[in-house]
Amino acid sequence: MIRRVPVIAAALTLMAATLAAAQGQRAAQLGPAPELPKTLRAAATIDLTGTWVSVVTEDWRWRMMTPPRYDYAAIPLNAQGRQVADSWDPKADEAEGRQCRVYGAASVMRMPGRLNIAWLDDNALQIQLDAGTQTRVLRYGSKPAAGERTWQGQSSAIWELPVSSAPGAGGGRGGRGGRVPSGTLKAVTTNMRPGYLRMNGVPYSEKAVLTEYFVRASAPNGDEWLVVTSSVYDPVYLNEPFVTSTHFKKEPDNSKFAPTPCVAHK
Amino acid sequence: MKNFSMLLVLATLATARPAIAQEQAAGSLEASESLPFVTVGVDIDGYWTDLFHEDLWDRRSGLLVGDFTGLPLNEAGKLAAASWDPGWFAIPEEQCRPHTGIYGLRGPTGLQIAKVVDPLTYQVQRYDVLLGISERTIWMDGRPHPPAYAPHTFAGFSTGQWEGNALKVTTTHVKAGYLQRNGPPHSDQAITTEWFMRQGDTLMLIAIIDDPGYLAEGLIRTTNWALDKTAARGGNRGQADCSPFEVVDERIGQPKHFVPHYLPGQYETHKEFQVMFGIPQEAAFGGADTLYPEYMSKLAELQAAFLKRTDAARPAAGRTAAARTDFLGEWRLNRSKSNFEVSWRREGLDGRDGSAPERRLLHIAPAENGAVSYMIDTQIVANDTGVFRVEYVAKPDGTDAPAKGGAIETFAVKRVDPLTIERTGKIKGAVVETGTWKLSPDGKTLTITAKGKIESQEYSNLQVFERFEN
Repeated sequence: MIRRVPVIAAALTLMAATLAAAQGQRAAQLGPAPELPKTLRAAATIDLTGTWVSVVTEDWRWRMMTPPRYDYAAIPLNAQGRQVADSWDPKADEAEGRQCRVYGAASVMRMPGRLNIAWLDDNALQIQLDAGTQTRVLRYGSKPAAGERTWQGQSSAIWELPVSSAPGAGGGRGGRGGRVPSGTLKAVTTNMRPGYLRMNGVPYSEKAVLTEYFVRASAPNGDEWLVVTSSVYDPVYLNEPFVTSTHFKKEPDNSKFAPTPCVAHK
Repeated sequence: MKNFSMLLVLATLATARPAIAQEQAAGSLEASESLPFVTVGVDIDGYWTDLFHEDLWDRRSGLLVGDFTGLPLNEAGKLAAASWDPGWFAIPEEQCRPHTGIYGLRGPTGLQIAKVVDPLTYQVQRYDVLLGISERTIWMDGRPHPPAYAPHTFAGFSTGQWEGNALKVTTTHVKAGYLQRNGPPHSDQAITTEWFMRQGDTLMLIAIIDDPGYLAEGLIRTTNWALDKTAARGGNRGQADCSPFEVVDERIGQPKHFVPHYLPGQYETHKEFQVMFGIPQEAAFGGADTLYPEYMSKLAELQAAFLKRTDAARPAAGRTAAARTDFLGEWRLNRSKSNFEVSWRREGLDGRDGSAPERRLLHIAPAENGAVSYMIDTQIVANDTGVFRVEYVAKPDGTDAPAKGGAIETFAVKRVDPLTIERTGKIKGAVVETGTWKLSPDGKTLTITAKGKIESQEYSNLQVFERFEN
């Protein structure tokens, strides 16, 4: 038995060497691995840039016009939220310079209007909205200090990719083929000023956290769509996260982008 | 070797996702230290419960006749939609009609998505989308769509393919049906393109309906479901148990095969919606131009003119109700002064989601032998009329009276004094709810406080009703 040990060790060494050689040969066949992207822009598998217009096929009566007071249909408001909503006073908002309360990050994507999305730098996507003349920045990486709360808060972004779309993925059998142009930009926004989820004063608090998913879809007729799913978590005014999906159609250019100031809706 | 290491990194990232629900609720990102992306699963199999945070009114029977807002109907579509009468659902031929594949997923229903694998090849053969009243099959095996002359079905013929994180589905050969349950139609030439995507614990569906028959442009809608982690998963699926034996004559005396309808231009009924929300017919009937931001300014102008017209048409003096100082009369819930507390979260279709109902009307009228009739209508529940009614006739002496329309089987009403009633609800003889009704001395306000426990679910509420007269 003792004499067999060196034999087994020698056999294992030979096997390891053979395996290493085979792996080396395989690696040589495949070539050098692609470098993993280090920036948000480099990791993008879908193009979100361009000008997009909201097409209001859902919640029309709550978005194209100011809904009546007390009309909180579909929003999972708790008792405190209803109480605050019931005291909605647009004149006071106007007098106190808070006309932008419905143009904050948690609701501005539901306001009918146009978005212009462009790369601010390699790690930041900028969204300009003509409704209320607002600007959002979705950033990957280290964030600046929280600072004062703003209507748009601070948004952290990262791509969520299926394995088939991830950088370095082969896509298809045997590792051949390209990456599938698919994926989701996930953004989480905090540090927002308290605002309104709807024009009629339905509140969200400064503790609200907004989670968004940005995706694209190409329609058979050639239309390009951007869909943003938003989940507003607010422990102060909501019983559960408020989830909506809002869609935008791509426009050929920016000619219809028409910024308008914030308005306290009445 | 680098490739091997990289795959290992990807595999590690893919398996290292934290509990999704928690991160989704609190909001967080799962960024690794150095990479601006993470890999995620795309699996849509499982049980999903409906979310109604958008289009609740359209999807849970709150629709009124003539509300076609948000739909890019063409002229034919507007005409067909406006001719629809709610009695259409009551004719025997339509009572058991399944939803088409175009409407089915918009209805109030949870769903189960089941992946079916070919036992020989282990390839995904199809997805079954099970939602009770209308079920769909999405073929994944590359089979072609049938020829144009092939029969159409309620579900239609669907094929799918994965495009990264989205299951893209194309559906043809659907029977003619409705886009929503107040008349807007789709034709049998409609083609639907859908994308199912999982986003954390949410399932998001994008659907684009192209219909040369009734739509001026593609109708895009998005629908969300939450991952159903409850023990009774899938229990919230729509009803599937309808058979010819359950069809009843709901319109006694109506000629056989009569189809309820409104003739072109005879849209008096449609004005209820328009007046209620101040939306002129031009906007209420939809159309592609009404969907875009530019329409907001036009809508404001139309509304101003519309309100001017309706105000002018209103009688100079409203009907003056005789002042009453008793409980009898019509009462409307003032939501802003009311408060509803429950021990549970979402319960699906019965409106018990912890918030005040959209509308609650209370009708109290005298009945025979000194009894009083109570009829309570609550809006935002899933039935064809959108109104959930509880009614009973009780003497004010504390005796139990049978109730119809709710979980509580009997109510006992006891008059404590001219301004106070105590009400007790029972199930199988056991008290499950107690409440006090207080009338204000001027007879204008009725305040109800109630608390109860049914099975393990507790609730309490303060309901403030105000008297109104039509």
